Amino acid sequence: MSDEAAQFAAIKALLPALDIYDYGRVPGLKNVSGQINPGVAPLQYALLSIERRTVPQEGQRVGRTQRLGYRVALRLAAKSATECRVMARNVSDLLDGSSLLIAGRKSTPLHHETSTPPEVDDGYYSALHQWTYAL
Amino acid sequence: MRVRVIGGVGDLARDLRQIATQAPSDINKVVRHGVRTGNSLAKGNARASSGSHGKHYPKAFSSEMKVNGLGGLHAGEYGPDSAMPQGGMSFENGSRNQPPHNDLARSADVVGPALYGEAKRLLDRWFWT
Repeated sequence: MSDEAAQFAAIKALLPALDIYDYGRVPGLKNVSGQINPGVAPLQYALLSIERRTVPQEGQRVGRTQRLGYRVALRLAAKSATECRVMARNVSDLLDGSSLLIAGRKSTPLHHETSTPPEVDDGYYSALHQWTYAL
Repeated sequence: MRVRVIGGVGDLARDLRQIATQAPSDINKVVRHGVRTGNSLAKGNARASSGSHGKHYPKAFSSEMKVNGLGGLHAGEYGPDSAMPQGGMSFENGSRNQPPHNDLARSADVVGPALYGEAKRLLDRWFWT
């Protein structure tokens, strides 16, 4: 399992009650080719993406290990703005300050970076929430 | 060899008076440079991430100083101008149909710490040169 796939799995494990998908892989909704994926569209779900981020060199070495910075983005989608806000609160409770354990290495605590309010988004309400950490 | 540095409260008072007159323009230059650099980085990120259907988006990026010393504050901003073609598109945060591009966030990853470093160097320069 690649480092990024392991991080994806670790974040999913922190949010067991949430249906988390890759972009374009949500059942019953459009995929990247514009066709509908098999299955029934969920009423609430999250889309997860993780990217490397540039971090300053200072303070990033722990012993001989170089730490890499990451940004995790969760787009929460629900059928109402209120549900979207409740999801955001629950997710924040579980992620803020938590660490990921990847192949025996513990990440720095997840630091909340930014959030957007729920907005109408193609038949759903959705909001973006992002955290950063180093591993 | 030994170096002896002698200073008194009078020297400190003189330095502080000088710093008070010099600081606003120095800080303004640092912030202005940071804003321009951030815009340049973000624009480069946007050029790489916006694809063919967002070909005008990078051209919508601009920077400007918003506060020039009012109340001791020096502030600027950069990013896509929504009045420009494609400047209002939701590339930065994405949507259910596309992941966030984070062109601005990734530029801030670089500019934020650099600005902090510049501010620290300013302090050193004021007191030691």
